[in-house]
Amino acid sequence: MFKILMIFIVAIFSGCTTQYLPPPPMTNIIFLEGTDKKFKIVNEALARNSGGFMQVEVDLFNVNSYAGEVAYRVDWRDSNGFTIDTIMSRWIYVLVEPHREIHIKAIAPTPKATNYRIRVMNPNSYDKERVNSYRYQQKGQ
Amino acid sequence: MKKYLIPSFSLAFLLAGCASAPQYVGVPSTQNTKNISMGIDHADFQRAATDAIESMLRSGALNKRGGGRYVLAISTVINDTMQRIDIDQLIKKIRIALLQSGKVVVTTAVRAGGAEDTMSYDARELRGNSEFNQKTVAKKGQLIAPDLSLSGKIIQRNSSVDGGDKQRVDYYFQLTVTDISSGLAFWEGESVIGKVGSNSSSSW
Repeated sequence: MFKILMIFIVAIFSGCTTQYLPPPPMTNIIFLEGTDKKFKIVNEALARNSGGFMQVEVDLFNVNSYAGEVAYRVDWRDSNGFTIDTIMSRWIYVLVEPHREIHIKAIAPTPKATNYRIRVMNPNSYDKERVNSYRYQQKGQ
Repeated sequence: MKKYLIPSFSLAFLLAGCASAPQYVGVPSTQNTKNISMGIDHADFQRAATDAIESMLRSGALNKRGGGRYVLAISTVINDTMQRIDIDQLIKKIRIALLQSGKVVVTTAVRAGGAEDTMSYDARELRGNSEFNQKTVAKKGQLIAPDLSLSGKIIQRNSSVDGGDKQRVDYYFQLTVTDISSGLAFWEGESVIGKVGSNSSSSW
């Protein structure tokens, strides 16, 4: 009787809390343009919160002894592998000091998201044009 | 006449060098150099909306007990800036993302200052009109009252920096989701966007 009661209590509480998922495969983080030589992944966590939204957190460590800029973008995909179009996915530019970390944190726009992809790139001179709406789709927007 | 030409050019170059283009505060300088104004532009609305949505989804405030979707009404968003802003430039982005989240649906039949889409009421004027099939006219008691209300304020603060050589403009995007039945704020968020530019750059 006690066992059944305990199982019942555990089942109730597990329904209310964030469900942590196993770490995703490394292919979800794509280092482009040699950024893998600049940054090392030091932490990666994935969870589905109580609302059913996937959340991802990744810490990248700047292994260089000089500061560097990095651009990253988190895209979400549905169960069919299609990218979910959302204003929450955008290129973010960060200046990372030497031997410091950047913290990438994102939440899926819909519970339908089942996977994610993080692209890490070097900012370049073309990026300055990105705010120009006519170039909105450059660099695999 | 010619003797004034060279000093005039020199002065023009000097002044042109002093006038710096607006830049975001806290963003790498190389990403900061083009098409940025001191006013609120598309990128600012997008960032404020994204910040608000991410915070709302993380907070769990939009998870309706027992499942289903909340009905949200758009209330007043006060524009306390020096610019003429259409608040829907911000609100529409939030609405699209909320609808996508599957947690909230926005009513257009109720809004601060009057219905956003008056057709919900206009179409009901067709009751009793023999030209219309009365089975296709909206029945009484079909409109859904809102559970939540979204309100907010955009604030602008200008200050002088670098010994008065430059100006800094900070925009505060403050938003609140209120539970209408209890009057309690279920979620509150603030996003601050700062820009620095020369005094000749106008923020309105």
